Amino acid sequence: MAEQEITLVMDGDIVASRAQEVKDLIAEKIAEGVDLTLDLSNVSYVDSIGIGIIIATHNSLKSSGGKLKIINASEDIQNLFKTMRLDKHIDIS
Amino acid sequence: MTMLDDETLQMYVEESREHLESIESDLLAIEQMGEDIDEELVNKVFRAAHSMKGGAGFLGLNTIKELAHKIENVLDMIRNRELVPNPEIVNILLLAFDRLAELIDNIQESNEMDISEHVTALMSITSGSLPELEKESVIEVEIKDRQDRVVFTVKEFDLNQAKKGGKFIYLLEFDLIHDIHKKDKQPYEVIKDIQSTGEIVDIKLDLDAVGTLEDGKFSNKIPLYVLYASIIEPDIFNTLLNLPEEQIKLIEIDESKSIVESKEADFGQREDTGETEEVMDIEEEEQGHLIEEEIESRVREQAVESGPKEQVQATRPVASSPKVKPASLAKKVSPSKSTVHTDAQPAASMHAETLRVHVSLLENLMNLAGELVLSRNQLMQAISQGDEHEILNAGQRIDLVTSELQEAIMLTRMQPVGNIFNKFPRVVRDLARDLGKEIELILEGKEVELDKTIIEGLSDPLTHLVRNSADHGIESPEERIAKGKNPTGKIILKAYHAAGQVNIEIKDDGRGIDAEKIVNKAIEKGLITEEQAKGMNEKEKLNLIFLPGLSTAEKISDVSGRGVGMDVVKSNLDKLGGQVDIETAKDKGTTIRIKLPLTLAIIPSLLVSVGEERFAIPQVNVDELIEVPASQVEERIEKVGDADVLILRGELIPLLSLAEILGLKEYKEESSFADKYKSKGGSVKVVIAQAGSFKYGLVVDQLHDSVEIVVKPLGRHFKNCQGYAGATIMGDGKVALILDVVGLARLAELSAINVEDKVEDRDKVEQTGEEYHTLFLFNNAPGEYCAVPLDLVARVELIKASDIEVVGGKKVIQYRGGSLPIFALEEVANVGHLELEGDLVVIVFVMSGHEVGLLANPPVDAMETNVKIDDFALKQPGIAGSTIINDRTTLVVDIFEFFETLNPEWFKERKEAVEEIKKEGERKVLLVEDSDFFRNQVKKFIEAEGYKVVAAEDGQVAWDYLNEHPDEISVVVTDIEMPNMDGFELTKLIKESPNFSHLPVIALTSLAGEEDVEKGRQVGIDDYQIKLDKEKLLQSIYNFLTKKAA
Repeated sequence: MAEQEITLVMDGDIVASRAQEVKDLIAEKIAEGVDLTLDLSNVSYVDSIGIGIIIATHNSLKSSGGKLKIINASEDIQNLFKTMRLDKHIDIS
Repeated sequence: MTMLDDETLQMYVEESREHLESIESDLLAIEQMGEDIDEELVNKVFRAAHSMKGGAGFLGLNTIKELAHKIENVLDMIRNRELVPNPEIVNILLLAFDRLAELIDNIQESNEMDISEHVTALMSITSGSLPELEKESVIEVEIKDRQDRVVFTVKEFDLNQAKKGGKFIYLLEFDLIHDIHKKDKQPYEVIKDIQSTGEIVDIKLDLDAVGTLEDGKFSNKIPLYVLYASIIEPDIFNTLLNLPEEQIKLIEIDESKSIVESKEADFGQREDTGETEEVMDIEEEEQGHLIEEEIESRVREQAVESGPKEQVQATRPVASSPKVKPASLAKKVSPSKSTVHTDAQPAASMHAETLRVHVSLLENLMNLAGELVLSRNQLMQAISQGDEHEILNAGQRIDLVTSELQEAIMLTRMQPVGNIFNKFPRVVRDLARDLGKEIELILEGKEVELDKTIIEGLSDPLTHLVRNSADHGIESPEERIAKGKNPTGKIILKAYHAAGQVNIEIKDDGRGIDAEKIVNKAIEKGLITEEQAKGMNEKEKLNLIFLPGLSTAEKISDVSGRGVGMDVVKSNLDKLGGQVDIETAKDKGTTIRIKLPLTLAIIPSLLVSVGEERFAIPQVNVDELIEVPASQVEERIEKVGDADVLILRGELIPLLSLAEILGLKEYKEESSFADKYKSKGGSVKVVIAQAGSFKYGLVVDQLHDSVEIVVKPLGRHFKNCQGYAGATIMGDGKVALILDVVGLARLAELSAINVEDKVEDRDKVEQTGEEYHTLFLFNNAPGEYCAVPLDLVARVELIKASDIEVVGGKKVIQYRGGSLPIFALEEVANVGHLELEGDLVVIVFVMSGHEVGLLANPPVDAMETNVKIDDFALKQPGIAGSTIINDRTTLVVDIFEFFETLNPEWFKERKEAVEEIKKEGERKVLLVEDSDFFRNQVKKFIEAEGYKVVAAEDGQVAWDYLNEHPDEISVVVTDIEMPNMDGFELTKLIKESPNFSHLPVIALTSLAGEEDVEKGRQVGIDDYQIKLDKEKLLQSIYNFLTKKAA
């Protein structure tokens, strides 16, 4: 059981142009044993790099014993993640 | 996920239809083989059901998916020999496939359609052995990438399923960074793209390769593995996806053992050592081998030679050990056999045939196009140089290339007739079941090709004919046994080439068609009269089947003859330019032969012209071409009722003037009705056109060559123009319209019925005796309307008053090289004075062998009427009485009395003599004539003369009659051309028989060539009379009778 749960509301799309910004934002929050919830209600689009960031986040959390959860993802994003079978690794809703 | 965009859906529907096409015959074949199944065939059907299922699942067509899935289960059991395909099971499958076809046809509503009945039926078959199915699906297969890493573990069953339908399985490696992001694509689009051309079996992101947020590796690569099934072939696959070839791997699964074995020979070593990438881990040998094979071996061969290793490595998303690579590369390059094998294997499972045909055709077309370009260059050069010789050469070349090009392009439209033949096994099977008959259907010549449009139009008529054969032709097994036939009836459906046409035969060994039954039905329905029926030969009787109205609305169980929609069959085939022919023999069977042109787009046609206009008549509609020389026009063209007819070998053929129907010429009152048909030289040029069941003569100004024309459809603005079938562009760039002979006949209000009606009306005249008259109407003095029976009129001539010469107090006109005496009605009867001025009409009669003319005023007309003649009020010499026609009192001229009064001596002799003969006993004339019309006419006027007439429709009937009634007949009048037994044969029999050799035989014929006369003399014909010169004939009969009496 994680010691801490953090919810991060993402503002704007998770795309290549904002990659560094998003990465930094998330990296800040990640600490040992943290469960991270990304709220994507303001995100309409995720591109390849975005997927990479999310996977990297998942990997980082996993290595530190935490978990990634995605909430409020738009239907398109959910579909994309499901098609790529990412939903097997990341709790997405 | 559902992606119901139109294009994908359409693709699916088309593909499914293709799958469904051959299923029926395959299932029937499976049924026939029973226990001894042909795995290949079962697999084929299985694959069809499976790929339909796959596509349906992908498109969210759940109903289709479910039904296809259930079908698949049953087929799988058959394939595994857990189930014997007995007729019951096959029936359920057939019905299920039918339903599936309906679902496909109504794809949008398919999800709401009910399939429960079929599902239940299918389930009841499978329920017995479901566990085995599940057991099979547990077997798992590992799919490895080229680095031998296991990427996917899939159920073998799923993999096999995915592969059905000729699909290839690929393992794709995408890198979200390099292959998607850097190419400015979006992951979602890429997935959508690949889903539109195949099926994603499994997909996986390699999370570990991505790294974490912290380490610097991030965003180098995000590998996405896709296990993908698609019908796209390996050689073009990478272009489609725009992926480096190294990242596409073809996964090959071999199901047939023999191939696996041969592969083992090649790869045996590697399989043993397990170090190879070509061979996948297989958990259960019997389930078949999965052999993976890299499609790009050949390409890599090159790659190795040029050594762009870095590039290969760079694009490879999964970090791989460099040590493995060269080794594996070297390995793969060496067995070049496997590459060949990879290429060949999928080709066999695909619908490679169509592709191969197309490619060669395309190549051929390419070649020809190249040739054409060359020829054009040649031509251009020749033109610019003004070299006439070279221009001619180039022209010839272009001519050659064009016709070859045309042929090649036509080929692309050709489809095997098997496309429609294949549905008949099912039709026949179902019918046989329903009717309790045993029928074997044999298909021959399925590969014969026909134009697409013809194939499409052929389906309905053929179905009709095959159904008829099964229903009415083939007898029940008991009946067949009783007849000593094989209880299983046979229907052969056969297509073959003959004389540039395709013939299709539907042949059965059933009871045959009873022509008499058809005739009786036709009479019963009032389509023909009994009189007409008697005059028909076997073929004509059989052809009655095609008469509209003969088809019965009664149930098909009414086995009184065929005729269910045969008129529809005929008209459908007419549309395709086809001809139908029936042959039948009692208890032996029936053959219906259809002759079809290879294509409708280019047809051989006859060119004709009227005035300045040229027209094309499709050659199939042209029966023959007749040029009536100017000198014979008067004899060969006659007026019957209100129709002009051409006398052709004793047949009356209605004539139409093309110019008149199309309104190209204005016809003034001409001196003779036949004149309007004459072309410049004075002769009449006639195209005898075959319009379905009847013929007519189309009169044109000029006949030209027969050419191949390209049919261009008429625009919709011309839709209502009857008489034209299309247009074409002639060699000189001008447009010629293509005539629709059936439409023209319709325009002229001419039809078989119409012609027959006239004959029928004539019969009516006879049957009702005095009540009916066909009258020829003319005027005497202005306002004085007169009529004579048309039968008595030989000819009508239009003359000018100035043509009349008065010689020795008698009026004559120049007529056919002689003088024709003419008389006015007032010379005998007390009627108004006829002024000899302007245009006049001479009605020519033949009286006792003399031609005489009666003067009259135009207009003239002919009409059939049943008015009563008042022989009291206006009776006077030369006038039989009066009647009311068109509200006018009309004098009916007694023409015999008229001329008798004028020339009593002409008639005296014979009339008295006939009376004399009669006193000695009644004289019977045996009249033998096959044509209804002539028989009735001749019979009538011989009877009018005071003799009894016995009519016979051919020589055989006449001969039988003579033998049954010896001593009854005094003289024989016979036609020459007749079916069964002709006039020569009959005469020979008569003259050789001791009982009848004394009988005089008069030949009545339109054939009067010298040879015929000579031949007639040899067999003993006593006299020749040209058809319908009644006075001469009567005189001849009289002569023979008196000779005999004397």
